[in-house]
Amino acid sequence: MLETLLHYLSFPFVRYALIVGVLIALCSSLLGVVLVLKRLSYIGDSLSHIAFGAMAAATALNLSDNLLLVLPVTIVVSILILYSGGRTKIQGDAALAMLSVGSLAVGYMLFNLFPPKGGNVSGDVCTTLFGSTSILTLTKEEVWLSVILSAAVVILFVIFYHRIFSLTFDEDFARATGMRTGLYQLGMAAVVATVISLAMNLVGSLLISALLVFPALSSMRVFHSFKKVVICSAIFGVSAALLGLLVSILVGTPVGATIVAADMAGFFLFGLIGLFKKGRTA
Amino acid sequence: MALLTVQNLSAGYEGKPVASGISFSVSSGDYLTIVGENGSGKTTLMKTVLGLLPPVSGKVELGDGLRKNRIGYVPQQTAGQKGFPASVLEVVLSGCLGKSGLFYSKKEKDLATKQMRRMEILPLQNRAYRELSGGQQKRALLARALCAADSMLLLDEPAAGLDPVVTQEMYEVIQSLNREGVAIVMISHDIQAALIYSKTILHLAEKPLYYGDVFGYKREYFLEGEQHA
Amino acid sequence: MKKVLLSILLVVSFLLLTSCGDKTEAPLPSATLTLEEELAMQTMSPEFQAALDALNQNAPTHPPTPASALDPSATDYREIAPITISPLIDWDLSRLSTTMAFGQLTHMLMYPETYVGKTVRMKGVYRPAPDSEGNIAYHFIIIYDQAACCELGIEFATSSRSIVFPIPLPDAQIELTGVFDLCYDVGEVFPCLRVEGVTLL
Repeated sequence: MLETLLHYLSFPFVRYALIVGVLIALCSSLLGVVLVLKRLSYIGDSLSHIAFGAMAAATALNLSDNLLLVLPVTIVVSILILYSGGRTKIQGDAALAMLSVGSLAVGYMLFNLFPPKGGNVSGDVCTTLFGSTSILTLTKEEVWLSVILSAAVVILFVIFYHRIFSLTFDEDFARATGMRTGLYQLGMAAVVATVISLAMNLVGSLLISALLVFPALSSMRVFHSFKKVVICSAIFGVSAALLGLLVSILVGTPVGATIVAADMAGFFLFGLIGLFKKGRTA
Repeated sequence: MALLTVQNLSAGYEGKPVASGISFSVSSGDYLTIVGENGSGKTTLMKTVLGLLPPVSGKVELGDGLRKNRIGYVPQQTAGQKGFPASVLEVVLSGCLGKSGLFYSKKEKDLATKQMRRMEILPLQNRAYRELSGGQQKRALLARALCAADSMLLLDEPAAGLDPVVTQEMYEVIQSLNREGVAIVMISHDIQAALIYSKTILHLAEKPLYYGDVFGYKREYFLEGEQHA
Repeated sequence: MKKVLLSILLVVSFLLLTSCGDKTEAPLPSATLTLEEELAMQTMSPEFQAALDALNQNAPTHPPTPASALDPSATDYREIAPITISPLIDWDLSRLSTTMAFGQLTHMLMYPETYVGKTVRMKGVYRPAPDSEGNIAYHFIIIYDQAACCELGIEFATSSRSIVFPIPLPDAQIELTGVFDLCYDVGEVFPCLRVEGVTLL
């Protein structure tokens, strides 16, 4: 088994996949903590459906690089959701559902009306929705893009860590003590949109929520301070992605689904640990 | 010199006033309770005073060198906060954000320790916030507010959800702070407590029904044996 | 929110109305004269002849494109000099998991220049393709990804049309060992695999 693994690691595209996979999982886990605690866990799903629609539109327009359309569209919608989410929560909920499902449907229709080069419609749809093998077919430029963006996200998160905590824990108090909450929310919305657009390469639209949500939820079952939850989420997310990638490469299972399976297994494990911990202190 | 002066304020959302014609001032050592029925605009007023909402008309003035991030605010808790994974220390330290740079220095950490000791929750500092009792959580929020500013505190229904014994303790803690010189502005449903602890009362019902000291309030509303809640 | 929905609806309808085009490549100008042109030249006035000569002198000459990267002298990609397939395999896709094989084949199709001349072994499914008269003219080997929702294929051919291997049934499992090549045909460049025969699995 180890020999096969080392042999596989000699392939360049495997190394690219591992690098990008780990970095994207890291960013998603960090952002996921904030999103889950703000009761915005559905964001990953909705934004990824909209990104799917944007990607279909980009293919229909024969754009050289999908991200040219996907990134701006996703960022704009993300800002609209997160920025006004607090005030118009009920309305936002329903409108978001319509937008999300609509994008999925329109996207699929666009794929069929304007099929991508090579004519493999179901393949491309499958890849974009489930991320079948797009992580294994990355170009060097895509790898560098992911590296730079991921590094930026992590650095920003570390720098603004305390403000992120305050904003997540109690937005009203933060604003009352002089923090420019609007600005931070805009920034967060843009970052979330960027990470989701990139994560589509890894697990596809439908499974992005897992990357965002599982690490945070699992950590919160075991740890009780924000710092520990954040660190644990990061480690959890990265480990699950690494494990999922390696298993899928060795055994031949779909990459995205295997990563999510690893996430779920970790969640159950942490859930058990959490129960055990509670039982002991009770 | 008043710490807070409100002149002819109309508070509301998107240009529509919920409460109007409000004027009052708070100086050091004052203790003002704002009472009124649900929907009378108490929370809206407080949010406007804090700058969370723009005033529909009128003026909110912070005097005596009191900048915005020098008011301690103790909001009502949301369900999400009660289950939030954070240590007590993390919660209290977040009150110092207005004063700190990117990271907390020793000065802020010492301030947090001082306020936690004041609120008698220092031994709990590394405990999980969500595992504390209601009263302890409120004390943590008080400590946080004191970190932000210890010349004036704005409290929104501090006794909400607390059982009677803990409620009593809460009021006594607040009163001891007031005796130390902290100005208190509190929204409360609890008229009885207001009558006991407060120095001035503002009774709000879209327009101020009464603003003045407690004795005047007692005379006006309770002399005939009637209770205006 | 209404404004958002309206604007997004507008954008989407705009996108639907724009046409996407398949890029068709313009045919390369021919450097040689046709028979008619040659005949016409013989009856032209000397001045016109001189002008035409001048034009032809300035016309860009294109070297004839090779039909195969392995054999630059070939003119038809299905007729190149016989190659020997070395027993040492550089890329053995038959022993990789489906995920890996799919990824590796994609890499080979994305950057074919780096793989020309390498010996490759792969397992897959046979897919024939007919020419304009309906005879089986082209042979492909197809592999699927893990969920079998995407497929990828590469054409394989022998070095000479005179080598005939038993043609498998469509969708039969086959294994090939061959040399990776870049083939040119009808203005298109595509990767292809040079084989000596087909192994049925």
